[in-house]
Formats: sequence, C-alpha cells, structure tokens
Amino acid sequence: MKRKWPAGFKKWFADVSDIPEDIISDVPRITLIGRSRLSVENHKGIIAFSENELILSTQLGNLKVTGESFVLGTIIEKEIDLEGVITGISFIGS
Amino acid sequence: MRHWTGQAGGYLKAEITGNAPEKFLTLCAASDIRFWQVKRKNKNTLICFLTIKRPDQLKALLRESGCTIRIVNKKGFPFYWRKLKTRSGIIFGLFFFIAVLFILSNMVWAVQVSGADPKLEDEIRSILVKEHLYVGTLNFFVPDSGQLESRLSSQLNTVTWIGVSQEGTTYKVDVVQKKYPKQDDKPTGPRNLVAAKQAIIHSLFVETGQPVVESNQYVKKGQVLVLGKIGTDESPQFVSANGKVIGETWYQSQTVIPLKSRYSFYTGKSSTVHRLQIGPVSIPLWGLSQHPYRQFDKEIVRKPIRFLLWDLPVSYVRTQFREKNVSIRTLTQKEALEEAGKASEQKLMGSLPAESEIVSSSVESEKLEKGKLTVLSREIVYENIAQPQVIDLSREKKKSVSKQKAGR
Repeated sequence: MKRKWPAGFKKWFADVSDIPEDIISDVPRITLIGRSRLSVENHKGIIAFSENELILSTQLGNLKVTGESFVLGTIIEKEIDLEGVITGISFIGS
Repeated sequence: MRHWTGQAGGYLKAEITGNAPEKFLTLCAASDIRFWQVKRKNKNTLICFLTIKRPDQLKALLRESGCTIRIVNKKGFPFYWRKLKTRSGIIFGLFFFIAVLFILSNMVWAVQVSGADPKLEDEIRSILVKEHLYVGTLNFFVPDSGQLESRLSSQLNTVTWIGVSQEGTTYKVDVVQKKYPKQDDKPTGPRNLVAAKQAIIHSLFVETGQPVVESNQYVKKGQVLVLGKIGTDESPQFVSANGKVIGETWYQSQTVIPLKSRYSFYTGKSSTVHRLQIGPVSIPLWGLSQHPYRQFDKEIVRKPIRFLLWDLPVSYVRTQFREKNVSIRTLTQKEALEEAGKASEQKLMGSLPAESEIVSSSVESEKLEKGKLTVLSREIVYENIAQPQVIDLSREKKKSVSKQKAGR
C-alpha cells in the first residue's frame, strides 16, 4: 500500500532534496517543444478533445490547451502527446 | 508517428461515437490499450488507431463510457492472414509453387560425358538411360555413383577408367579411353630383323631385305634373320628390312584347378524397401522390411533431398535385397583336365602377339593334391619372332672401308 504523504511535506522534500517535484508528487510535467508538440505526464484523464481545444484533468486542476488542428499522438496511462499549433496553455479551477 | 510494432499484432482504424468519447479514451488508457493519431471528426465522433488484444475487454469499456465503435479499416498481419485463408487459390498456388520448386531441385538437369569420343559417348549415354540416368529424371531413381561406375566399366571394354560424380543437379562422367598405338606409317631407317626368342623357323615372308636363315633352322635370341644390307660388299645399300618370320616356339605352363568350387548366382527375385530418413529417424514409406530370402545381397542407395542449393537433412534411402543361391560345382578329374587345358591356352594367348597360333598342347604331368589338380602342360606355338634392329650406318661404313683396305 502506497503511503500518503501530506502535499506540503512532499513539496518541502522536493525543495530540500533538489529532486524534481513531478517525481515525488503527482503534479503534471508539461513539456512544450516549439509550438507544435506538447506532452503532458502525470495527467488524470481526458475531459474534452477537439481540433482547437484539449482539456486534461490533473492534480492541480484542469489544464486547458488551445490551438489549431490538434491530433493526439500516443496515449498511455500516464502520458499524452499532442500535435498541432498551440496558442495557449492555462489552468482552470483548482 | 509510425507503429511498426503494431503491425505484427494487427491494429484498427476506428470511429468512436458517443456523448463523451474522451471518457472512452481515458478508460482505454487506464486498461493498457494503445492509441495514436486521434482526431476529432465532429462533436460526437473521434477517429483513432488502436491495437486490440481482447475484444471482450473493449466491449466492456464501450458499454461503460456509452460509446459505439465503427471499424473503418483493419491492418496488420493477423488480418492479412485471415483474409488469405478465405482465398484458398493463393494458398494452393503457394504450395504448388514450392512443390514444383522442390521437384525441380531434385531433378537431373544435365549429364556431361567428358573424355570419350562420340561413338563411346553415345554408348555410355544409352547405358545410362537403362540405369535411369537421363536429363529430366528424378535423382531418387538414379543408382549410386559407385554402382554406375561398376556397371559402366563392366559393359565397356574400351575404357581404362571411368568416374561418375554428382555436382548438384549435374552428373559428370569422366572417361579415360584406352589408347591404341597408331599404325606407324613413317618410313623407318635401315634395319635388320632379328629373332625375339629362340625358335625353329617355320616360314619366312620377306618384303624387303635379304633373308639369312632358312626354314627348319634353329635360331637363338638376337640372331639376325633378315639383313637390311643388300647389294655387293663393295657398294652396299641399306634398306629397312620388313617381313614376317614365323617361328615355332615352346612354352611350359602350370595350371591349378580346384575340383570343388563355390559360386553364387542371383535368382532374379528381389524386394525393395523405400525409407525416408530424417536425422537419426528412419520412416518406412513402401515395401516390407522383412524379406523372405535366406541368402541375399543388400544394396543401399542413399539420396539426400535437395531444395534449391541446399541439401536438406532428409534423405531418401532405398534398400534392395536380392536373393542369391550358392551352389558347389564338382568336377571329375577328366573335366578338370579339360578345363585346365582351356585355361592355360587362354592365358598363353593373352601374352602372345596377335596372329599367333597354338599348334599343339600336351599334358606333361598331372597331380591331384588336397582337392586341387595341378597340371603341367607344354604348348607349341607358331608366332612372329621378327624384331627390328636399327643398323648403325656410320659403323657399317667404317667396317666396309676397313674391309676394302684389308682386301687391297
């Protein structure tokens, strides 16, 4: 059974130990390559997907990616790849 | 993104329709179904590629998310295979092709005969056809190279050596023909004819030269029979003496004949077993491995099965049992004596030059010992005893000059 640590402790541990936060806690890691490729690790599921919009559920709330001609590349449990022209990335809600 | 790994397992291009197709994607990702190239078609529909391992799992997920799936396209090896199964023509054609290739790989494509003149080559080929070796026959029916060699050499008497070898689909027959010395038509130099062995002259046929012996004269080995020097002593001429001098010669020979001799002969009955040998395992194909013969010769022919350039580890083995009878021949002393006479004459004729003639033969003594008859016989033979001997011209000239000097 995975032990649940308080979120504040995880953040503190990440700061102290210099280990990236996404490894310790379940926060998403978002990588953007130019304007055409975006990969999100540690997501919690797809909420909406269309040509111009992708909404992903994450630990920190919903992540909204906007742009044009979106195509989803590989989808595996923890990771998602997006191709297309990306115009904006924003978090909505909490 | 290309997914060659997906090709081996087979993948689908599908349209997913429902109120929330994204939910289906999330569920699928959680249960390890791979997706790629996901596109939105309209409000309710997504187009995607996905691998499918368990169709029942997919159905459960569809029900849970309230979506329906429509398969647009099937790709990958398993689907090709399924499609191929319904087209039996292709499968049949493929097997037919392999079978034809297989038969052609085991066919004899050429028989090369080298070292034989056209007449002998024709003879060899006709013998080979009788032994089932010709262009277009299957290799399995061809006897062993060793057997072919022995059969060829027993039927051909103008051959000193014969070798049969197989190189892939080609049989090579190498022949060394007996060479007879060519008739020497070159003019020979001055020569005498001398006696090759001691004899009594029976008759002389002299073409050129001067005979110096007469009929019924006894001559020693090396004695001059016909002189190549003609003309007077003062002005001699030298010619090449030519002719036949038939002399009476004597031979003594000893022959041993056993009174009892065993010999075997084939009765003509045979039984053949065909087997297929795969590694150490031998599978009988045809024929009884139990043979009813008490005495027999066993002949095994092993042919590796070939495919294109390679010998497969499978070979075809044909075992032939040939019944033989062994019988014992008993001769009386008189019969044995007759046999001995024939044998000794035959042996003598073999060692004499052609055109010789055995005039008479007489038994000198016969001795029976341990079932063997030893016969000592004497033969009188008429044969050509003339042998050329070259005249040394310079010496002859000197001799004649010194004679002339002495004469003065």
